[in-house]
Amino acid sequence: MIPALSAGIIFLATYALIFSGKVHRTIAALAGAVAMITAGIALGFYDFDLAMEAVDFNTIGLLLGMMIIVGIIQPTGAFQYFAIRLSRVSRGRPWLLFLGLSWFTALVSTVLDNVTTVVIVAPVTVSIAEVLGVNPIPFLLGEAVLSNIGGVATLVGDPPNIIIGSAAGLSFNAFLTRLGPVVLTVLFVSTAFFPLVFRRELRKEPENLENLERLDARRALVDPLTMRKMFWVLGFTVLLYFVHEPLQFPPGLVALIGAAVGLLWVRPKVDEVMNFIHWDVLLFFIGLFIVVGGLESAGVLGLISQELGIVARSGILIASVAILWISALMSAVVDNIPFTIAMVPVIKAMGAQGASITPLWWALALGVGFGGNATPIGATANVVVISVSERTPHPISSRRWMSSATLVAFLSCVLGTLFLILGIGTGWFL
Amino acid sequence: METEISAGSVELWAALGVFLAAYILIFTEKIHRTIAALIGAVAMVLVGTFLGFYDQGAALSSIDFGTLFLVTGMMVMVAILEGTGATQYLAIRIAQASRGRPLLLLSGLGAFTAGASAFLDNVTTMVLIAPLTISIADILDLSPLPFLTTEAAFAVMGGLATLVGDPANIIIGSGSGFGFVDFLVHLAPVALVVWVGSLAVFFLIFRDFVRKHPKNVEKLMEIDAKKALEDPAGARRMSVVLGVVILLYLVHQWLGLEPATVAMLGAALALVVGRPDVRKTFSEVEWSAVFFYGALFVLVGGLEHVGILNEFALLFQRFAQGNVLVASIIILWGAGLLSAVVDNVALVIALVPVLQRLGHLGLPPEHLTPLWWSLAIGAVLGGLATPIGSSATVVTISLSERTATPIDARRWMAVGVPAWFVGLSLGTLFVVWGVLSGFYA
Repeated sequence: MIPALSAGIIFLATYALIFSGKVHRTIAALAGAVAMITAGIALGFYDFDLAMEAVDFNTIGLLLGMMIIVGIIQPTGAFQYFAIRLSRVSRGRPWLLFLGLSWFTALVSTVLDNVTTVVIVAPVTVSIAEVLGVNPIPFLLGEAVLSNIGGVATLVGDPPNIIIGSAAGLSFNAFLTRLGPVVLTVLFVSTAFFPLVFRRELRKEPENLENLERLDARRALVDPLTMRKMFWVLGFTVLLYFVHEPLQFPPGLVALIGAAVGLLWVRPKVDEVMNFIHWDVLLFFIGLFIVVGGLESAGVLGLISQELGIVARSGILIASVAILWISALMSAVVDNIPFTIAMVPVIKAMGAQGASITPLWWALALGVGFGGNATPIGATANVVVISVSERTPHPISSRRWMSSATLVAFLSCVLGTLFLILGIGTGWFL
Repeated sequence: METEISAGSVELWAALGVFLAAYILIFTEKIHRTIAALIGAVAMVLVGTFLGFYDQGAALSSIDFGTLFLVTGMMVMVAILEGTGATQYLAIRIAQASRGRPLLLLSGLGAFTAGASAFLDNVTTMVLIAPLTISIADILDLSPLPFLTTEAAFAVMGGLATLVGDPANIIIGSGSGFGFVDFLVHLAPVALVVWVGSLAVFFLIFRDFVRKHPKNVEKLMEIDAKKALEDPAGARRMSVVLGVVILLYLVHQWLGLEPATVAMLGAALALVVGRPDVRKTFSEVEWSAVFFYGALFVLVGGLEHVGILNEFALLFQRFAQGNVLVASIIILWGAGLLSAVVDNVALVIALVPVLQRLGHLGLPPEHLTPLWWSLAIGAVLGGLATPIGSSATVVTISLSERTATPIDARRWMAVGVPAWFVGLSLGTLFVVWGVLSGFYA
């Protein structure tokens, strides 16, 4: 009882510290991890080796590989190039521009980190909007919301999916075929919804159409050669993802193969690429895995797994829908990464009682993915576009966010629930 | 535990081919060593998955995370310490205590470098001390060359004394299960003997120099050491953290804490107490080194899984014919020669599983233990011989390029080779004594 109690206290204290935002989340997670190991050694429920086993290095490898790929692409100016090209194609018509930019962000975020995508696309959007004399808010909002939605579609689209895929052993194709249709529907519905909310802004005639000519896409493209190479590398990596299951390559290995090919072909300066890797994020993950692993080793989850099993067996449909909405609510207010990592052993414990838990994984992925759109702090991409908008004359206020994106989040969760019910009913999600 | 496959099979040759190709790529330095190692690691896992002798799971369990976390933890602490200016402060104080007399200054700075690098990363130590040394030598109108070469040599030799002093020791500690105190008891005396011996050699080499009379001593004395201390409060806090960490290292074996746990504890403590900029601190950690080590473990793990290291261990055992003295001396000088030309981490990561195999093959502990210490002595001191033998020398040489007497290969060898030879010889004597007296059993 004492091990479970102390592990529980360390877990709660760590999560409270992370969610309070008082200390940097990586420091909080690492301090928690060290506390968990030390307590574990003192009380005999955990040690360094068990902690290392608890860390899901497949997730870390996947994140690392994708970060390296992004780190090589980012300085080439490829994102800016495509964003400007899109604005030229739209001929300055706001709603077309909105469609182009937001779907571009959604598409890119299905394979690449959506925070990076938004970090690059948002400033370009602001300058395009300035040139055209239109309000950037609808564009920025659309990009953040659609990048969060797009990330749900694939195994590698956002960190919660990576964690879920790795823990549940679900393949890239499984994610694409189960969650892809949901995401596509949600993308269509939300692109139809945004023009309704922002009809005034998006119907406006652009002012300085001739200025658009001055935006030179070529100049944004710093390194066309590297961009072309990385285009192939990315294509090759995605191709490998499609066949990773028959090849028996874990997703982490695929990402690292992509990164290795990119590094070998482009030969960038290693130290510069290393600077693009978010080490604090990787260590944050490692710390969280160790903390939650301690909780598991101390038998805390064993104490409630009986009850959890009953919940899972009493009705997979109810359990799934409950997980979707709880996850959505949680990730609207707190960081979805710690939440997902903590949910993994809970769902596994439900499965240990004999119930089929695959629908629960899909429910978790949909909930944490869509829930992030509900509040301005729900996802990192939201925080990024808001801080970008604060440098323009049109800052995105919380009220503005709530009156548009929150509705999208709600709608997407409703659609997700429908798909979940349909998927379980037809057996597609089982 | 692992699949043993008979020699001559496709798996064996494939694994050996990937391993050798990767190591050649690393040692030729045509491409960055981390990239070379990562590509080798990915290739090993791919080939292993196809041929069925290795996969991602096995590769991950080959990685010695104890080493990686220990290295990372120490680097985080060093990064935070670096910002406080504490090292520079102490170096100035030592220079002032010597009153600029070359003999005392050389010994003082050398000893300080050795002491610092016994606990801190060698490269960081040199990066902090070398620029300061150059300016002190400038003030005194003395050539910085003798100081810099001595310091670089001591930075390398200093690492021998403790478990955390050199990456080679960290890996050996993790692979052999020896703790901080074991290293301190068995290697610190060797290190001390080697330090004194090579200091005598340096005095001999620089005999004219150490008799020189420095100029402008009063200017040296006027330097306000406190100014170097950028963050006095931070320096005080960090010295408390370092003190706690060293204390924990001294008792970690009794507490049952892994050295890596202690380092992570120290890093977490330093982050909480020092409250530095997290992103900046983490960007100062040399991640490419951490990944280099990780990738090497994966590469060598592939070799281990085809059973080739077992063959190698058998071969070695037959060669040494059960004579522990012969075996120790082969390892000490073999590692000493090899790590003069190649990265000692790459060498040690490949040799640790061989020594572990020897243990599995039934070599009694009293015969195995001297081999571990011999490997540490050879691998750490081997780097002295050439200008590329250790990263501390590489850094010092590049820092010396802006002085009037840049260290070139010839100038380095004039100091490094004697130090290397004396170091390895004294090390051999110590090992022989240790084996005969039973101290290393």
